[in-house]
Amino acid sequence: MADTELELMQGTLDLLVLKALSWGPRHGYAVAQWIADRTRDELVVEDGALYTALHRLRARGWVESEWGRSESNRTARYYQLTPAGRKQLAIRVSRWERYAAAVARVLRTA
Amino acid sequence: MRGIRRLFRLERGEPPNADEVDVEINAHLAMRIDELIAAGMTAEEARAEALRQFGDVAGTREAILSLDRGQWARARAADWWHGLAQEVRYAVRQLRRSPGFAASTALTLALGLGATGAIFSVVERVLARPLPFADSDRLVRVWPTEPATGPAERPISIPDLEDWRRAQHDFSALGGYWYRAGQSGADLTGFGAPEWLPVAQVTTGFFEALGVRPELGRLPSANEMREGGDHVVVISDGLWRRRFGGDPSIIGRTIQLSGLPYVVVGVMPPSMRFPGDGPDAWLAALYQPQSSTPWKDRATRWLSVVGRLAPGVTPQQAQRDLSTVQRRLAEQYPDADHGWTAACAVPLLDTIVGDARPALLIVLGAVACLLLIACVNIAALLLARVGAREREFAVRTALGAPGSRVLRQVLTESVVLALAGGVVGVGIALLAEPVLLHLAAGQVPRLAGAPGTQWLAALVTLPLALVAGVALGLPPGLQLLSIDPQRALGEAGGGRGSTAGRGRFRARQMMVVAETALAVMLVCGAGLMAKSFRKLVAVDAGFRPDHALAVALTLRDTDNDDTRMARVYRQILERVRATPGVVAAGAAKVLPLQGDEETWPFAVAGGVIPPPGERPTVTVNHVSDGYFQALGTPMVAGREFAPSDTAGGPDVAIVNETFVRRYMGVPPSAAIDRALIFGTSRVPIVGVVRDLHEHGLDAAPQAAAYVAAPQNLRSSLTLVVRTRGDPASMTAPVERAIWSVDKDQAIRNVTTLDAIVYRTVARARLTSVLLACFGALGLLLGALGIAGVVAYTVSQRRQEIGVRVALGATRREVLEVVVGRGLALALAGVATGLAASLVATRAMRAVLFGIAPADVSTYAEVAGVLLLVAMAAAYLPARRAMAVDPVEALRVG
Repeated sequence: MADTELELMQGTLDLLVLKALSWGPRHGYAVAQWIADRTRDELVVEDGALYTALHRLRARGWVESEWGRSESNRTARYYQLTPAGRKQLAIRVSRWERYAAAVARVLRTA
Repeated sequence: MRGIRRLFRLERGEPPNADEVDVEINAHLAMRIDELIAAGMTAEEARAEALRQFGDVAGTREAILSLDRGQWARARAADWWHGLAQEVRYAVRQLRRSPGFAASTALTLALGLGATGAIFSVVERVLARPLPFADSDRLVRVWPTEPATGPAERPISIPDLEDWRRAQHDFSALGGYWYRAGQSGADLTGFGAPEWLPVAQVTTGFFEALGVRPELGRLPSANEMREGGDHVVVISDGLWRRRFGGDPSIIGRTIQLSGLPYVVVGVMPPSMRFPGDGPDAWLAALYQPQSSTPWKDRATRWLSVVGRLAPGVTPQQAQRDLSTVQRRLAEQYPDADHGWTAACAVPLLDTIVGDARPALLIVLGAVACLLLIACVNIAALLLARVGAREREFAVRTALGAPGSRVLRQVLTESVVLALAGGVVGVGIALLAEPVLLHLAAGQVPRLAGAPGTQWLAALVTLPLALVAGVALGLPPGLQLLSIDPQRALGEAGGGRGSTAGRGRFRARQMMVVAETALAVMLVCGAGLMAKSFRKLVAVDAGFRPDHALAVALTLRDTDNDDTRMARVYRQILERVRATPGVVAAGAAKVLPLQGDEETWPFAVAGGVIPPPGERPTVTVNHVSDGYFQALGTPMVAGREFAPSDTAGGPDVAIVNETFVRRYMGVPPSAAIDRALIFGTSRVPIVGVVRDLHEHGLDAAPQAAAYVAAPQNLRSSLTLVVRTRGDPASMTAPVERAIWSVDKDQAIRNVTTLDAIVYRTVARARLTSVLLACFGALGLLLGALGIAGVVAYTVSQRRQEIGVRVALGATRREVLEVVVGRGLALALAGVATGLAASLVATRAMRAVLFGIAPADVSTYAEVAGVLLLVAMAAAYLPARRAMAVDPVEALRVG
């Protein structure tokens, strides 16, 4: 059971990260905060997994990064969507919605 | 956005490191801890909670690092390709800016590369490609030798071969065969018009040694291969398709070969083309009756042997093994094998390629030399171009382009140029290869009918172009690396008098010396070959080749009826002689220059007669009356055979001058009426004939004896028909005359004596023509190189020339100075080239006839020609120097 949860998590986490960055450049901690706020802490995302996702998205060219200073004046890496990343976000959002709707339909008729 | 991209780019400059990842993770943890403390935790609790929420710090760190490294490497590769694409676009733009230069250099290269590719492809087919048999490197030809007469190839008898097969240890199979292209054959009858087929006679072990399997049917069984066995035949794929429509039901059918029935048991695959250029049928040698070939006699040597070495055995080992066997046979059977005390084993491929190897390698060497000249020429041009663009490169360097970048750009340009040449070169090679194959057909083994492999020419040409491109770009590229940009930019006009400019000029001079030297080598080789060829065709073969037809046929001896065969022989001669337009006609078993006579042991009557096993041997040809008259070869003493020398009358013989000199030591007239002893019979000499070149123009005539054909009948003969007019136009009347005697008589081959002579010198002619072409091209390229350097000197030294003219030098003096510089380079090149030729032409010894590789007069002529060409090449641009206006030249300076 734990395995399926992990598999689901990966794609979902990428989607959440892309969404978090759709409002502008953020550092990793801010992305974690944003996700925690929006999910009201119901989805537990490990910070390590979050950073791995950020770097994975960067390697795919959907996200780019630069060094900057945080509000508390700490050196942090800021991430931002690339045009390809923005397109990817749109694709994944629509795919997720169709998936969720389909599952929901099944559950309702059952 | 723009800012981020810039930073992003810079980040790519350094490989990702662990520190960065640590900074990122620590910043995250610190922010988390701050927040937790603000929410009321102690510092320690906050730290523990932050770490818990993060999860596996070390694992994440590793995962991130490996993701970053992968991305960095991909980005670098993309950058590199992107940069290369840019360089290529830039190079193409540069080349298009000077289309004349680009086109002429690319075309020069294309010619060199294409010629090299085509010739390499032909050479590879002949010398390097394995024979079409399984594990063909284990195939060898073996033969017994008489150490007294040397290791030359000799045939073996069936009893000796059987003993070899029983006693040897080093072969997995050993088989004998008899085959002579154009001679060994049989008439196929019963299927429409009679057709003469080339046929090989083979023994047990022949097919096993080659490792061939029929594509249809089976091999003959051991029982079928022996004397008195059922007569079966294996036919070629070609015959099967041509005459039997590729019908599988041919297996088991009976076909008539020269009137005898044979059951077809197998069809060989198309790749089975052995021996020679591939017979159409293989049948057992032991079917032969003793009356036609007394093969039970140990001294009747007539078979060639092919063997398959056992795994791991070298030809040398096999040769030692068989020599031991043969030595024992010589002791055991002194009557037959006295003196035959050794054996020789040579890889099959070597015996097939034979003396074509040196000629092919020489042509390949010559074309490589030509390619090298073309490359040196282009390198010199590129160097000059770089000089003109020195400022451009200096600007690039000053703007921060690293040296490696400048080198890469120069290399990209030369590689683009060379590859363009290479692509055109592939086209040239593809066009040239069939022409070469056509020219070499029949003169070089393994080319006839071999499937085309044109991809090979491309496979060689393109990589060669790549190598040439890099080699061409290196000298100018390295030159540029040594330029000091400040000086280059500081000099008005750029380059002139700078150290780099001078270095470049020295390099160009050296290139001119090098290409002149290479051209000298090429022309020396071409000159030697041409002179050798002239000497070869000037050899008097001993007969008149003009106005003579040669018609080869094999008389049918269906019932071993010698009287019938003799009658047909006689009648054919009479009818041909009676044909209008025929001046004379005769016949021989073997024509001159074809050298495939029988070899008989003999003794001269009157001296000490050694026992049969210890007698010397002589080549014996079976000739008709009137044969020497038809050839146009005069008798030196006595008479030639007459119609009266028939089987019933006393045996008679003719010998040649060399025979008399070597074995009798008397004047020719004194040889008449002395006798030769063949076996036990005594044969009086009735005539001495002038020496004929029986074995080729380049082989000195050897002692030869001739016996009267009717007294020693052979079924194979070639008519020599001397005609009044064009011999080719007599083909049809002569054929009709033959068919008027026997309408089923198949005619093997009709040609002219001129064509036979032409064929024997054809390979020398082709080699000579190819080398002459390469030599002429080499000379032209060398001349262009000299002209280029002299032109450059003139343009660089306008000022100096202007001063000289102003000071009163005559135009003639100026001309002398400028041409002198060019000639000095040419002299250095000629000297180097002659020295190199002395070494290189040694490789030509095997193909030269009547001329030494170090022939002084050839070398002197080549030196003279080269210097004349150099002078002309230097004179044309130097004339421009004479036109220099001193005032103008000095003002511009």
